[in-house]
Amino acid sequence: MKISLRGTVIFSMILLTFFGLLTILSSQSEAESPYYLVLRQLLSFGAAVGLMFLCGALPFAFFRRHALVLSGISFLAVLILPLLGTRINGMCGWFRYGSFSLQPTEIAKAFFLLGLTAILKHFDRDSLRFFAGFGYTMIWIGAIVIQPDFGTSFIYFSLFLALIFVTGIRWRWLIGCVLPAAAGAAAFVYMHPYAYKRLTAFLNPASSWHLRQLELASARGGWFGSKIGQALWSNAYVPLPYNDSAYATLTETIGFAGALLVLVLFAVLLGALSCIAMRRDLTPAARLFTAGCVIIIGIQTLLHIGVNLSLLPPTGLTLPLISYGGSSLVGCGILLGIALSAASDKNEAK
Amino acid sequence: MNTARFCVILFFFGAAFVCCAVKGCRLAGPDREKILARGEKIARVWRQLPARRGRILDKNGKVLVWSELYCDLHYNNSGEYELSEDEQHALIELFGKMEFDVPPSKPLRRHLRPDELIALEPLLLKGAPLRVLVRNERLVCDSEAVRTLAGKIELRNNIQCGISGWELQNELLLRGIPGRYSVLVDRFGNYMPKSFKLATPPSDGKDLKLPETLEEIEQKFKEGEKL
Repeated sequence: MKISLRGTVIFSMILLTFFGLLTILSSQSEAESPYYLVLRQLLSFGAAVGLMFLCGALPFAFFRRHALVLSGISFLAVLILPLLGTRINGMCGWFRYGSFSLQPTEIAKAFFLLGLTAILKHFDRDSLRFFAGFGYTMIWIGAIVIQPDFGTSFIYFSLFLALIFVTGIRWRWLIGCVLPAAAGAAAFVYMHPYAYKRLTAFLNPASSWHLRQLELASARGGWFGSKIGQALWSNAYVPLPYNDSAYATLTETIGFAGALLVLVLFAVLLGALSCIAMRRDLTPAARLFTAGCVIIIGIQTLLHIGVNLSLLPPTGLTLPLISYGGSSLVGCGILLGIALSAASDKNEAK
Repeated sequence: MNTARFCVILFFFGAAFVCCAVKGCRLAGPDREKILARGEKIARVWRQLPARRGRILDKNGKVLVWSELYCDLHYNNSGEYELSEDEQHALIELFGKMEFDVPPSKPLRRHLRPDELIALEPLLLKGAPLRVLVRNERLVCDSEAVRTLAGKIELRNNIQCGISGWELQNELLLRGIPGRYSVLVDRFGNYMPKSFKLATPPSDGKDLKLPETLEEIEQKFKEGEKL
């Protein structure tokens, strides 16, 4: 039986979302209405799947042609956030209308990547490619940092670095970019006590209340989990158990065995996307976009899981397809939809 | 696109996934007990279960002295007697219909049951202007001899202790050993459901059976007075 790459992507996306619903249910077992967030996530799941198939049905040439327009529109949405957005947890990152809220930076990921791919493909010379890509990324990051959302800014910058690395840019450009970025990050940590505190807490996990709770939630799950729908520690101690701490909640619910299955599912999803990215019969833009998909999903997944397992300093990032959040899920749906569209964008020369 | 470089990134992702799997494995296996013990320290609170004090009986088994502890719910005595709507709602949910307009000297509710005490504690921990007062109730049969000879008891750390007379002489027999239970509390001080653990059940004090009847005791007491 031949397993299609598109089918693998869709199947793993749906299975991962199912694990997400289970995580949200577990994190709400002590809430007054335990099914409220699950139902909302189910609605978002419907929208995400619909958009994934819609984007997948459109030819990739459409996205290539309108890459900068789509990117520009989503950038405007991000830019006006500080003026018209709603502040939640100290971050002005949502548009809100009644009970409906939208986080543009999550949905814009696909369009940022689309624009970046178009720019990197447009220039042949290393220097031009680097400066154009760098400028484009910095404009986006500038708009996101104002909110302020450092986690997403980090994801965007990492995506830029990884993508220019993949385009085959010379090492000197990479080093010339990474060194000032590292120096800037060090200066930022030095100037902001909370960032310094987080970093030192990570170096000594026993002293960090946050990391200890995440470790405890994971440890309580043991090999096969505590009880489906009953993540006791996540409900009682873990901050944002259905969102930034989703992996710890999931591990408490279904144990290491289940969490390992989720890791394998992510590996399968990324593997299938990587196979698409490495297909030589596809156009370079399609391959680069799909490689960007692998990078963006991979980085965010590993950062989230790393934080939840106390392997990285605490930072607020959602786990793609698992964490609660309609914008995140819809954003993933659009990203995967465009990747599916890219999978059929064959090289005309062939 | 440079496929070799993309493979480097994939290799990095693969290594990171393996690191996560190893760490997850450690948390579920070798490090689990150590981490759970740390969690117990954070969240488990220990409480006492009072033990019943033994009674004093005469030779025929007639109860001469009987002591019992009761818990009553009062407003606290800090001068703040206003319960918020949420607190009133929580109390009504716990006890049913309640009268809140009572003078501070009188209890809001008498004779709280152990399960009511447990259910009430989160509300007290959250700072509701309430307190539970332990009341020591003692019944002595209508005999001057028994009243004099039985002695007195007092409350020390909510445990009834004999301080004079038969109560003091037979303290080891009469006094029960309080039990201990523990529950897990969340970061707001609420009890976590299904986390109740009874560590040691309370061991009630034994009844003291005197070698004489009440009449003999009274007679001896009168003779003693005459002498």
